[in-house]
Amino acid sequence: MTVEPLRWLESPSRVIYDLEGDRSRAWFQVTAPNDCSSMCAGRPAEELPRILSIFSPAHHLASAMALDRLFGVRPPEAAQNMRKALLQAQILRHHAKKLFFLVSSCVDLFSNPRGPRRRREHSQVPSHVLGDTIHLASLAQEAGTILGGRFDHPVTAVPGGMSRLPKEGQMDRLVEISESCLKDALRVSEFMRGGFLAESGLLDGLFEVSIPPMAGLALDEEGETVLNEGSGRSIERFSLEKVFETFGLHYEPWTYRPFVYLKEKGWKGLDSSAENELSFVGPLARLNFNKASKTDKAEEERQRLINKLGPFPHLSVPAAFWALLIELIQSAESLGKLCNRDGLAGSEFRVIPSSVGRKTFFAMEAPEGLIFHHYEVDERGIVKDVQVVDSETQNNALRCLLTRSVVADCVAGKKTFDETKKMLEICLMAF
Amino acid sequence: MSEAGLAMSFSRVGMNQMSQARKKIAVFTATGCRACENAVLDIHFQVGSLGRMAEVVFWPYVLGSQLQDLAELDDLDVCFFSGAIRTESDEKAALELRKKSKIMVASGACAAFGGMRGLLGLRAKAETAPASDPAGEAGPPLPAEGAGAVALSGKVEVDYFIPGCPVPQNFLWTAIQSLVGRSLPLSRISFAAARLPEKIAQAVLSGVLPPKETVFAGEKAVCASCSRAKEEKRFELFKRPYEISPDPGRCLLEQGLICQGIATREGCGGLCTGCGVACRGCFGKAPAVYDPGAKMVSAISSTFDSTDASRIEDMADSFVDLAGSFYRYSLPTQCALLSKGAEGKKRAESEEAGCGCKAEPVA
Repeated sequence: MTVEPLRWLESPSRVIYDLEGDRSRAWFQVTAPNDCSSMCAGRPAEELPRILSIFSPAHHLASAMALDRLFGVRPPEAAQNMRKALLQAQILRHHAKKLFFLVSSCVDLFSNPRGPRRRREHSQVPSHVLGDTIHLASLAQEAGTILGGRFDHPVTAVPGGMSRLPKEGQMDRLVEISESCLKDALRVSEFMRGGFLAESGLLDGLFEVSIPPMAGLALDEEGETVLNEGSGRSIERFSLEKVFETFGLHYEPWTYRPFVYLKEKGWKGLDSSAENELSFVGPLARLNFNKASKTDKAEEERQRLINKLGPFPHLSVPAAFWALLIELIQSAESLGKLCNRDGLAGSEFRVIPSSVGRKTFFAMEAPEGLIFHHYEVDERGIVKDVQVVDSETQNNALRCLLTRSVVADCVAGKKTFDETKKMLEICLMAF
Repeated sequence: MSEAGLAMSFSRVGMNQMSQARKKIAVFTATGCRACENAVLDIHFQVGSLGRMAEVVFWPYVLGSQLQDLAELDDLDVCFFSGAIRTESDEKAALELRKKSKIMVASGACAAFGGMRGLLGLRAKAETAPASDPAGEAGPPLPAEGAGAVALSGKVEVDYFIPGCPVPQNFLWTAIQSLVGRSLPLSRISFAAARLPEKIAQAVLSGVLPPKETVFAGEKAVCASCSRAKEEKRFELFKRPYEISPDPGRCLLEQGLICQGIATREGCGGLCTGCGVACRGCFGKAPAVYDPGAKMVSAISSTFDSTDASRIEDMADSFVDLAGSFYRYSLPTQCALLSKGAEGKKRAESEEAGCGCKAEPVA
């Protein structure tokens, strides 16, 4: 059986599964190559933020920050604040879109509103929820467009700062947007938390689905990469420069994406995640640090999760979606704090470099999870090599293992193809 | 009949027209970043209103439609195809969707021109896949990858193009109204008509399809809509984008930055230049331009502010990665065009040699 393509995933991908005796076999395959190194080699380093944004908008920011290090410059405060605000807008749009997709799994999106009454598979989804969620995503997108020039392929983050600051009218609009985003985020959260948990809610049949106990990888407050094991204990901590010494990439012939593993433990295949050589990234990995949220409403939401599901760490699908919600609220609050005239105004928004280094590293918590950039350039600042490890690569092992687990459950439960497909797509989207 | 009754009648007629007029559409991305599909989702915050004029019958990213279901679908009216053709799976989907669709739209720079993945064509040598563990897991085979990225027109006939990386929402909505919503009242398609060149707008307002191969964008180069002041184009010194913080009011090319605006089709409103960064050509070449790279070389070299040969040579040597800049989004289609031209010339020459008469070379 083939599920191709998979809904809601950014890279073209599919699941192929079959039965061998009474055991199911399943493969999650990414069906197109990444092409990152090939596209970037030979390009001027300063073009990388615009090229690498094809992986996700956050890669534009990560690349600009990597280039700050390469060129040895520190952006002015206004530019740093603008980048932070842009990241919050990206987180908001990313998480709102995922929640929109989750709700859309229960609602007929495009039925003619003037035709027969809109068909719903699920009576517990109020009619405003889809509209509210896409409206929140659209507001975040507008904020990202003001700050980044374009949302999906931003252009304003440059080495040394930003190419421009928002104009007066744009500042007014950013303030309006951030106020609306928070209201929308709180309204959406009222429905979502009930939907995650209620019987016959959005995650019907998926409450017990969890990823295997693999380590979570995230950046801590000091900017170091931290590996938390499945029980929440911090087991490894290393600086950016050591990332590519610490992690290796393993390739299998049946998928175009490699698997990230701890070099120290060696690659032992996809069945031995208990040995902690595999890890995952994303909102749930970040929350499994069990640190208080940075903003008040988000912290209230995090406490609600703890009251309902128990203390961190969590590895379940409902927890993964709830983590999206907590970060959605946190981003809405943070955007409000950042979008103010004091923080985003000024005469200085860019520092011009005077020299070019040869190597740079950078890691950033993108909306979808931790991402790593590494560049090597020649004496003219022309790219020799680029290594980008995005969250889809980081979570490739998780997705493969989750696929096997979901397919095995569905086969044992004699689910239909459509039921299996829907469960797979929701679970994979959660991470 | 009372006024209220008349209004009810018109409203019923309108509703009947609209329910009869709903076109079947497909939205698909081959190998791409989903930004063009996000543009469909984000149309003026009203993605649901697409349901008024269209029945979205195939949209894998949002509706979970499966490739295996394509064979059983009724014919489609319009397919919005994004992404470059990178693997055999992409090619198969393109062929199947072309067979099913009355109208095929290349949506976004990747589908229209090959996009940034076209830069694979500039790599020194093809990468070999990293070695995998021979004792590793066996699994199903992958779709084979092509030598590089190909635009949609390299595999199937394309009826219309919406350029941009990603497609801007105004032109996307314009294309949807023009191609999908033709039976809508004038008041609804006036948005589309207002944004199109005159001849295309006339077709749309008359309820007919625009001419084949219409590009849903402007008719001039980006410079026509860029807000920066153009004074005298004199190129004194080439500057890399990280070397200067450009004057916000002045043409970037005049400040020594390589800006593609002069060779790129307008329609974005000078988005990048308005943000202080140079245009990189995501709307494709301007209508009057055959080769954007040649156009840029001509434009820049004609503005060199020196007559000293060694100075000119120094300036020329200082440029970096011109091919990667001038053909950032359009390398596949430009190479295909030049190949077609070369083949045509060869054919003309051999015909001339064969029949002894002069044949006109194909441009």
